[in-house]
Amino acid sequence: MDIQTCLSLVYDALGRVNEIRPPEAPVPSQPDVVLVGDEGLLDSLALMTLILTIENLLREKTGQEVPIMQEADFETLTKQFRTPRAIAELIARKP
Amino acid sequence: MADVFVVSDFNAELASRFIRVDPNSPVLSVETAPYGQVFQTLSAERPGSEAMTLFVWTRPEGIAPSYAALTEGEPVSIERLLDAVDIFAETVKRAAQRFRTVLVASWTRSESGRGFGLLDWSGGGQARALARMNLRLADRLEGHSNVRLLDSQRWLDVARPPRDARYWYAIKFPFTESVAQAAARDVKAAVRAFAGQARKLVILDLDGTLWGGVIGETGWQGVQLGGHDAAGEAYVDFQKALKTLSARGVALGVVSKNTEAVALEAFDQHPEMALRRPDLAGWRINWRDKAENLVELVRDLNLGLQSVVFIDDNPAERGRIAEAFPEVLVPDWPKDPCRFADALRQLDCFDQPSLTAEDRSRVKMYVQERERTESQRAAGSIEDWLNGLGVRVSIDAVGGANLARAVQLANKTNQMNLRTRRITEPEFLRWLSEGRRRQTLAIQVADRFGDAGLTGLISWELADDVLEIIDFVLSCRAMGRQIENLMVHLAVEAARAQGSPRVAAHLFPTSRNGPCREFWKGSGFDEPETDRFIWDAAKPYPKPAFIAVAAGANGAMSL
Repeated sequence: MDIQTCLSLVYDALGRVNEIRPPEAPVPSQPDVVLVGDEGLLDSLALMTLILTIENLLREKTGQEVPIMQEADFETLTKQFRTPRAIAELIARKP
Repeated sequence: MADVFVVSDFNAELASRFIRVDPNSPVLSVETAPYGQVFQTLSAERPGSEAMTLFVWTRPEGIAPSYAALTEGEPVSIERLLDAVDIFAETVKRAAQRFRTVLVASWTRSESGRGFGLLDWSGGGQARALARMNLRLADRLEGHSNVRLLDSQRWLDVARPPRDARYWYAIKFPFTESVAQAAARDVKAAVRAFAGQARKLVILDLDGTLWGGVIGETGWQGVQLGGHDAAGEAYVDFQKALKTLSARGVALGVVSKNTEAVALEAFDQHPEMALRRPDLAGWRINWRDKAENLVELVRDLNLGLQSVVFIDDNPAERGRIAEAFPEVLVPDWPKDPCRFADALRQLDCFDQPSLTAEDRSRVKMYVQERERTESQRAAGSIEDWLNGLGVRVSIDAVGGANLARAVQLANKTNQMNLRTRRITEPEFLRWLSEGRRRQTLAIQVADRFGDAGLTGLISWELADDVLEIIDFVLSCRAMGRQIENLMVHLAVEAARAQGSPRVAAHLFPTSRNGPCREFWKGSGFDEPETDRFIWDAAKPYPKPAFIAVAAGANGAMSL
């Protein structure tokens, strides 16, 4: 998948995560908005929901299981999921 | 202090968040207890407050270690499982004394799979054990007026998929987020129900909604209804679902662009109509704007727009009503009539915490009200009409058999309600029994058109120099027949009998109790300050002469 398609998929998942956030403070669909780590908008529950939702969307799109969180320690996780762009790049690297 | 306190043996924070962010009324704040500490949290000295709803959502294995053992293949006696349920139920009941409302999720399996396969409903099977546990829990919680069991299987039924083990390993939630969202919706519906915000009237279109085709073109003989036809059968099933709703006390009305005589013929003549004319609380069938018709019909039934659900197959008509009246619930409606009955059954706006005899006969009462209104139009004067009504009022103390209805009336009535005090049965009984001299009377109203049931409630407390009216509640079904004046008369007579020099009523204004304020302003009481009304009890307050009064079975007071 190209980066743009992956980014669009991340935004779709963020839309789902926004359903459990206060309506007045949605996470914007912007590639470099900080999601986790310092000044990140998501707490751990929201981050996990985002990851699970992305995996669900990938399964719907490709018909295959595409785990994106395997074997990641917290530091790696924070780096890989820091922004929508970083997540899109992670997905694009998946075979 | 939050509005809802969520207690669970798993991480239920997802459900908490869905409850918290739901913008529909009432918006609720939520606190989630640390998960995995159900018994400790529920048994804590003060886990919540009387203003809060407690929501307890657990897995069977989280409550009963014996169930966990069963799922691992150990032989476990049913008695051991039920003992665990009893302990849990007792803990919930004790906690219920500290909360306004307690909602407990029934148990479902938290893992996907086939259980013990062919043996799952046998003696040691998981399915059978779980069913027994749920039944036991329902039995043990039955009769506690502020505790209700929520059917969690419904939440799983609407989720695709309902379970995904990744959620358990990632966030310690045994279901998917769709289940959490469905649970949140159910909790909100229950809170609305206990707050008396259930919808009371469904207004229906005819052509394309209750039957297929255009009756004005084909007559009742030509409409698509029943027969050996999928859509025809579906329309009948939709009507049956409406009739079931009506048996729960939800009134049905019709607003349709048609010729009245032609449309009503279908109700009277069509052999497969499940709904008949007496099932309708009222109708407006003409060629005028539906919004105007809807307002008129709602006004005739003495209801508010916030009580109404509008169902129409035509999206343009739905849009018109939704735009004109934001208070009216206008659900999206499927195009395929095969989905109509399910769409109706999925609506969560009709939930009530209890179902009384008055609820069951509400439709009949609306029909009586229609006849009453017609007789008023025919009468020469309002006095002639009142004198000819044959109004009979029975007055009873509140307690025992009439307690549920009296509390329900207080919680559901908006227009003629002095303080709009929302209260549960235990709170009400506690209030009555507290040291001060308090009395509450239930008012049952009947006339020559029929029995309106328990439709009035008045309570007061006696201080040194004043009898203060606390609850002054009258159902819209009984308004306009001077029952209000009779209730004031009773309070004044009580003050006179007990030597209290004054009677006072303090109105707490809301957006909906304008009719109550209007009544008190015209009541003859002095209003020394805004919304505080005073009567000098040295003077009797006149009893409406045309009302015959009798004491009820509980022997309310000397009349």
